[in-house]
Amino acid sequence: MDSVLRAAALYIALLLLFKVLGRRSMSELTIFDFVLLLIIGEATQQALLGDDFSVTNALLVIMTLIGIDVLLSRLKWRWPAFDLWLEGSPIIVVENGVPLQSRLQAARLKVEDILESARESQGLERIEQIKFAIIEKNGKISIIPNT
Amino acid sequence: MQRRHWAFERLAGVMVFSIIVLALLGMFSKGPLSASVAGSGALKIEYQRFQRNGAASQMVIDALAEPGKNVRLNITGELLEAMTIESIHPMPVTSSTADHKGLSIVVTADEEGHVRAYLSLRADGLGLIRSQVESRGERIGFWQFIYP
Repeated sequence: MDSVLRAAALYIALLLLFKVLGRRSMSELTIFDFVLLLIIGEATQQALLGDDFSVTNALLVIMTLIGIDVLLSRLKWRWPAFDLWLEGSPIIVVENGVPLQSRLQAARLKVEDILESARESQGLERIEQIKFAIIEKNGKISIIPNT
Repeated sequence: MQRRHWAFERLAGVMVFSIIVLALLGMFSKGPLSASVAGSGALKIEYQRFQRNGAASQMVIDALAEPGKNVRLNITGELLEAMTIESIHPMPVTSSTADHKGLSIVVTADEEGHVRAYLSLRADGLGLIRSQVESRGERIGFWQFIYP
């Protein structure tokens, strides 16, 4: 019983924590994010297994985590509102060459980041060439250029 | 082929879900299905019926005795071979071997003639084990199952 409860509690706690962290940290890992994730992994492992290193315990924990994952993805599929709450929706941050400052600020992004993504993906040079810049659910920036 | 794959996926999903429910109910140690009490009255044992190899658990032996006097508890069977006893509280006055392979401990009863001994166990073996606890003529047998 304790294996399942531990795994479920940690999964939910980490899910909520990473929601607070915001999307950007998930798409492109900087050195700081990488170190953070590494250490979080170590801390989580101790809490998940405790002092019980049996195969049964490990399998129960893994099954619980996978089970919650599958359950959440089914719920998201069934109830789009739940999906919206859990993952958010794509956000337009640049429209017809004009950056929307309040949204950029909320997402903790600068115009330079948008331009970097525009150069990488579409080879654009200036912000006026961007029709739409969108932050997707997973944190990546999609650029739709002016035709 | 893909449909068969999806059908298999659904089946696996149901199996995983039922295993999780069983685990919550205590099938794999620590839960309502696992916590058991053997005996009653003069000798009672509270223990985990299901154990996991390497995991710690607790066993409590409840016995009646003469107030303030020492009472002997004999633990025999496969318990000592399959588990490591990490601690016994209260500390036994003396301890010795019982019945070739078992453990015999002498603990002091309280003023009301009641002994409650807490044993910290760590499972070492695997599979089904049968053990007995004896005190003042009362003898209780019980089984435990250790998962890998």
